[in-house]
Amino acid sequence: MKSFTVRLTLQFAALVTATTAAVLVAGGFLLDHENERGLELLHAIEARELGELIGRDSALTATDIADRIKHDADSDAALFVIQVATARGDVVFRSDNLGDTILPDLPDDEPHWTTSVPLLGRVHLTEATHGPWRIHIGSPLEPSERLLRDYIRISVPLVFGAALLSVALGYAFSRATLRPVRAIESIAQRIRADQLSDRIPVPAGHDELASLTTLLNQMFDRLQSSFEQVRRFTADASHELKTPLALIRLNAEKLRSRAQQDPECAATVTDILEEIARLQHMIDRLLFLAQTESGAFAPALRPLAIQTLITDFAADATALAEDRNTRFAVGRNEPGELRGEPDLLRQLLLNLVGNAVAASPPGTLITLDSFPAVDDHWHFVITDEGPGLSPAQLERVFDRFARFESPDAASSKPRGHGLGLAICRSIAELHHGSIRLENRPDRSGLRVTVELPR
Amino acid sequence: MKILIVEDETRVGRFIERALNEQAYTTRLVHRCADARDALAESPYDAIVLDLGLPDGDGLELLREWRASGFNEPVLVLSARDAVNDRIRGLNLGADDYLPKPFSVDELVARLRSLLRRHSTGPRATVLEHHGVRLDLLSRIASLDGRPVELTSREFALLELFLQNPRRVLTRTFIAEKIWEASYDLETNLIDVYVRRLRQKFDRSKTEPFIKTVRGAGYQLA
Repeated sequence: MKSFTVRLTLQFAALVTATTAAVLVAGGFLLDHENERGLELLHAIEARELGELIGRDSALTATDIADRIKHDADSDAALFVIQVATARGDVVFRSDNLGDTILPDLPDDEPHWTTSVPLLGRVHLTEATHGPWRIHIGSPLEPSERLLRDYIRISVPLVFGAALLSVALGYAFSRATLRPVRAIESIAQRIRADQLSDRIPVPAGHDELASLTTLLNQMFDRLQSSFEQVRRFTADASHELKTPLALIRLNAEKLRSRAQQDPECAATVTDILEEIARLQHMIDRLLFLAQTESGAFAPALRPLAIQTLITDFAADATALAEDRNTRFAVGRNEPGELRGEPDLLRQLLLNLVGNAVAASPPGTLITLDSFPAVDDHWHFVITDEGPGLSPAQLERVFDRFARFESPDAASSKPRGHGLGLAICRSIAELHHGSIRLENRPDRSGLRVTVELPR
Repeated sequence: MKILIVEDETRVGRFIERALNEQAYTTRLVHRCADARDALAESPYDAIVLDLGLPDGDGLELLREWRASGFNEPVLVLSARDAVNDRIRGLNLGADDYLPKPFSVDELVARLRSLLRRHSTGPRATVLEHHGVRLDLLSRIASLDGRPVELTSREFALLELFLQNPRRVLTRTFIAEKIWEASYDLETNLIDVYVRRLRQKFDRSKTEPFIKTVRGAGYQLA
């Protein structure tokens, strides 16, 4: 799962969950508030009824009042607690369900009040004045609190449910949103050097995706044309360079066959022929580099048995090493398989061993290890016991035409064209791998590691 | 023996023509695909030297047509283009050999002769001999003046190649192709190293090397 999909899913889920929670909290507050409002309305009606029953005669005794409203208070005992007092505050009637409790006076200007009353818990009170009487009517809040608790008990799982559901929905939603992007991705991946003519179908309409797709397609157009230019250039360049070279060579050979009697002339022509061969070699290498680097050349990779490859190669490497009085040994040679082009891999390894041999003093050892690494790559490691390279040399070791003085530079004539390591890197990259050079930590010498995906 | 040369670069074509005429081959030189088609329709040829970059089409297309129509004689492909791809494509389409430009005209003649010989003669010799160097291809034993000489499999293959082409100058490209089956350059001096090893084992003295170096060309049996 890509991180963008995850991010989109989480954002969507957070939004939905927060909205659900906010709605439920607001609902809770409303429920609580409406409950009190309802109670206050009931209290007002009850107070009017009680007032009519009591009348406005301030001479009534407590017994008279009890006679007039006791019945009513008893029948509503489940709903209300009732207390009647004189304007001075003397309590003349208390409903039975109040027990010993005396309801407190409400603060001035407040017709309604919520307070805690012993035995009854929290009570919502209303105070009404009827003639000389102050009537207190209260309702225990316990039932509405129970309702609110139930509400919360339902709301919490609802929020969790909404969270889970919104993750699922959000994932589906973001997948659906990103489907065109994935389509672009899969086609863009398919468009490589060997298949540059593919284009992403432009979605209908004039939305952002359509313009992005058009933009990408235009980019692929430019890419294709520059790839084709490179291809054409390498084809043209090789034709234009090699045809005259062919003529020079043919003419030089003709000259040589006629110049047998003149040794000086024959030697000159031979020099020309050798330089032609060098030039030809260099043109081939440069064209190879140009083509691989532009992606215009992609060899067919096939599964190879690595152990056999290395065993075969060891014979040639040993011959190369012995020729310069150095030794070559295969260290680890693990069995395994690798997708590659055997010809190119051999060229890569030969090049590296050739370099190592050239840099090694007589009698020293060059080692090749071939093994699978933990990171799903196959490693070929070539180590020598030569002088290694300075940091400055290591930095430009892959530059074209970079050549380094060997320690016995005076005795050995310059060989090669300085393209060897650039070609090695191209070959590693053709196999989707990489190449790394470093000085040995344990002693002087160079260690070259080629990492290829298995 | 009649050979058709398809080569758009006139001067290169004339060189090939002259060299083949010197070897007593009859030749015809054409410069375009259309002319090549006509030429082959008019009369039979024993071999074709085919350049790939032609002004009115691709030589590989011609090759495919000929092979599809049942033309079985050897075809040697010349190319100045992308050597690796052309070689692989050419050989896949039924070319018998491939020579990248710039080539040596001697090399071309030698390759063509060996193609024609391979086409006409039956089984090859199983024992090769040259100035006291004897190679038994069946028992895989090499000897010098009757004394057995130890050879690695590469050294054996290289010696066999030299003995099979006793008078011919073998270029490094040819050796790399035959011994290492390399479509790409070997980059190192590997071939020189193996030739040195053969010399160490077969030279009778320093002054008369068993394999001599032909500067600017390759190696040749002495």
